[in-house]
Amino acid sequence: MFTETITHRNLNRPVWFPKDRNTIPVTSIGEMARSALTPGSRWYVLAVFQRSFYCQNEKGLLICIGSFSIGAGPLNAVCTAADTINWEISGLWRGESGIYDGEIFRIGERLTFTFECVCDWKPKPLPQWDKNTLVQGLDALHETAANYRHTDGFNPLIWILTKDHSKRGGESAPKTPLIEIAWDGIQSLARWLKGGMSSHRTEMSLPSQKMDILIGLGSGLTPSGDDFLAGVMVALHAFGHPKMAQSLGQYIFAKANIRTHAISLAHLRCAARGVGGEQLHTILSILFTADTEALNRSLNAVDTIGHTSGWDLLAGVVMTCNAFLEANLYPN
Amino acid sequence: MTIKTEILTSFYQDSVILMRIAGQIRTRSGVREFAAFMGTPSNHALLEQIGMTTDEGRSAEANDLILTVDAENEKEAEAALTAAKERLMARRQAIEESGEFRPRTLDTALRHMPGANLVTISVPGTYAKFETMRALRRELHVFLFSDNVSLEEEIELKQEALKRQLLCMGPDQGTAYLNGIGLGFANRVSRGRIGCVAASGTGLQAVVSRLAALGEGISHGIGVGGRDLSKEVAGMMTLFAIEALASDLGTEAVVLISKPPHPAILPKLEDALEKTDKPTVACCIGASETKGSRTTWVKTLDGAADAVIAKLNNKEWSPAYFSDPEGVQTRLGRVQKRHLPKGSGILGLFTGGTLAYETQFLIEPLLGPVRLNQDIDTSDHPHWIVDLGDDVYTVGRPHPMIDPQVRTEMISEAGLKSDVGVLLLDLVLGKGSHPEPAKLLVDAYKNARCAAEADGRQLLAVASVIGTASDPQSIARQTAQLEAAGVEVLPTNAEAAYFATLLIKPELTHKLLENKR
Repeated sequence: MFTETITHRNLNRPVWFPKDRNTIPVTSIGEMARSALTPGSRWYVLAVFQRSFYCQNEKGLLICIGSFSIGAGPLNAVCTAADTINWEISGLWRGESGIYDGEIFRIGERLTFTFECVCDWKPKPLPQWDKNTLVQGLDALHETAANYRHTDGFNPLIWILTKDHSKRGGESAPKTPLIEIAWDGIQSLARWLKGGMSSHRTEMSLPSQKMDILIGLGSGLTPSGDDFLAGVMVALHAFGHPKMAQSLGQYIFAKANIRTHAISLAHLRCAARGVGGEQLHTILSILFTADTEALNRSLNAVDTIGHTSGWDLLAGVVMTCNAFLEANLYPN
Repeated sequence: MTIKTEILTSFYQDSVILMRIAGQIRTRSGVREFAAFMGTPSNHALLEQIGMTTDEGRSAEANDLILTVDAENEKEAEAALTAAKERLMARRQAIEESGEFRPRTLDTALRHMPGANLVTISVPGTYAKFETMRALRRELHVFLFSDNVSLEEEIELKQEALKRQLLCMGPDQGTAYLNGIGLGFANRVSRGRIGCVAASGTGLQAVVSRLAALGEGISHGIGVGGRDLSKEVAGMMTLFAIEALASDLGTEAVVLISKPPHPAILPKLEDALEKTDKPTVACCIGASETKGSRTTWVKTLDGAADAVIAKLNNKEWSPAYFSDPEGVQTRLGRVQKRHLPKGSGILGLFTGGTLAYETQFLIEPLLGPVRLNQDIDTSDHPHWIVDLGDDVYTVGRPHPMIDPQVRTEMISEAGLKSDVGVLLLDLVLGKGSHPEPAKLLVDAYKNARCAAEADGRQLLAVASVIGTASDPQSIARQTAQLEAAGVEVLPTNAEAAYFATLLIKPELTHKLLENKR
């Protein structure tokens, strides 16, 4: 909020202008955000939300900055700003330009972030697991997720996909408009997953075009369909099928430029490399090891990811788990 | 059934907010369904499936937000979309006003708003210097509303501000506008091409309100505090602000509003105005006009607004006593039927300091000596002007524009003063001012008039209203209330002063209605 004149003056401040004004240390950074922050890169603020804001650089790469409440993630730079900060009224505006000089990320007139004490964040490797613990984990999820049932996004799929997973097949789609329109795509993707996980072929077949409906489908900053696909790709890495994830990713990216938006696409790119948000990796570990005590706490966290994003991601994970179990227990 | 769509281009909003707003819209009467989706092809298919697609909606792209409503009729659909958009756009303001977070110190506030570059300081004068210095050292421009700051402190603060190339707007600055945002007491005006530098809050309000009435808006209105053009402060902020507006691309003309500058400052001021390379108008009330200057020097606040518009439109302008002399003639004929006793005087009770000062400056040459801001004794002297916003009247109590009690009491008492024939009043509207100032003023005037009439005298009231049609109090509504109570409302403070003069001294009618000042 100030005059163009004054802004101009402030940008040309004399040397006494303190360099560290309103400097906020970044303490954790994901690998995609780290690789996008090249010295001399120029940025602009793409979107500002209550808890975080996204910046995009000249190459179209994104970084998401926020306080601890956003959690670690591949695009995230977690800073020490107060958790109660509301970036929408912090004096930050969409379209403001920024520059990273190799040490300091300066945005607009007054906001700077330092990376002197930053730690690189990577998801922890999965603990030891086997098919039995996975089945137990899915059973526990079925019971616990019942407490979180609602009809928004792909949440109803959790109930359906974990229902008596050892005798699956033939379940009908819950009748929400979103799932109805997505259902053919989901089934098509499920078949592709099962086929890919049972065949061990070096060359992957392409997913069916029926799956296209999932890309960019649904409400929210990251549409439910995109979150679902991201969950599938992260889970594929967890099951040791990175090529399938990459193949699915390539298929999605070829279409995503027109089928979804820049922020969601950036998250999908991370997922294709097997990296999602910290909370997603936590629930993967809990599910795979049937850590039932931690499950309820973790589902609380899932419930706070966007409006339905946590459940949409988890639905993608669960469907991939089902495909894995079917491929390995009932390959024929 | 009516389906309507609105597209918000390249608009991102997090899903929790969208769902909350969608939920609220769905509960409106006449709304059957509401959806807020990004315009991806899959979402187009989904909207098609649920029967909520429109031709307009189909044009949305993946980065656009589609708002679609299914309502009982066109009107309900339109209203629902408007409500959704307003909720999305107004959310930031709602957050600010909800008091979700109330920092107790400047540093806490900065941690939550690290991009802030301006702070409003309104603490008791004793603490004002400390807080202002702290803000300046954190590289924040300051709007310093506080009064009772010493001259020495003001100088120190402004030196610090200049060293850092920051604005220190005050102390005792009631109004400013930056990028269309009003600070302190501010009228709702549109943004435009005219920049103001003002050592006076109500002076700035009077000019911007007049500009608004004439269809112009302001780029910025930078306040500098009432003492800035004194010998001691040496116009530090005024010169800085003129320079800033001179290089501001959105400013096409500059208006200076102040009391007379100290003679030692005047050459620097003229020099700064000359250097702007833009049309300039100076209204330094009480100062003599400088001849041969490119700047137009005017005597009244309304004259400043009229002159700058004329300059921007390359038109000639000359000052006049009244904008509608014929209307004034008619009005005079009506009012002068209520004869005032010989020797009656004017009692001006002002909430705006500059308006009080302007009044004294305008009527003194016509009526003789006018006492300003002294203990009223009308038996000793006929004409008195009181600035009720002066420090003397505001220690330990709100400014009279917020709480008009001091003035209403003085108006009531005026009915008992046999020497008072005309009450001269201002009514300043806008953000921060009393929500219904005319009502209180009218009640007090009725009491005073009854008291005077009971004593066999007439008590007339003349007023001007500073405000705009967009102000929360509405200038039309306030004016109507005053007129209904028999108060003569003139379009500007200067015209009100001249009109009051004619009521006291009718022999000046010919001169003033001839209309050349």
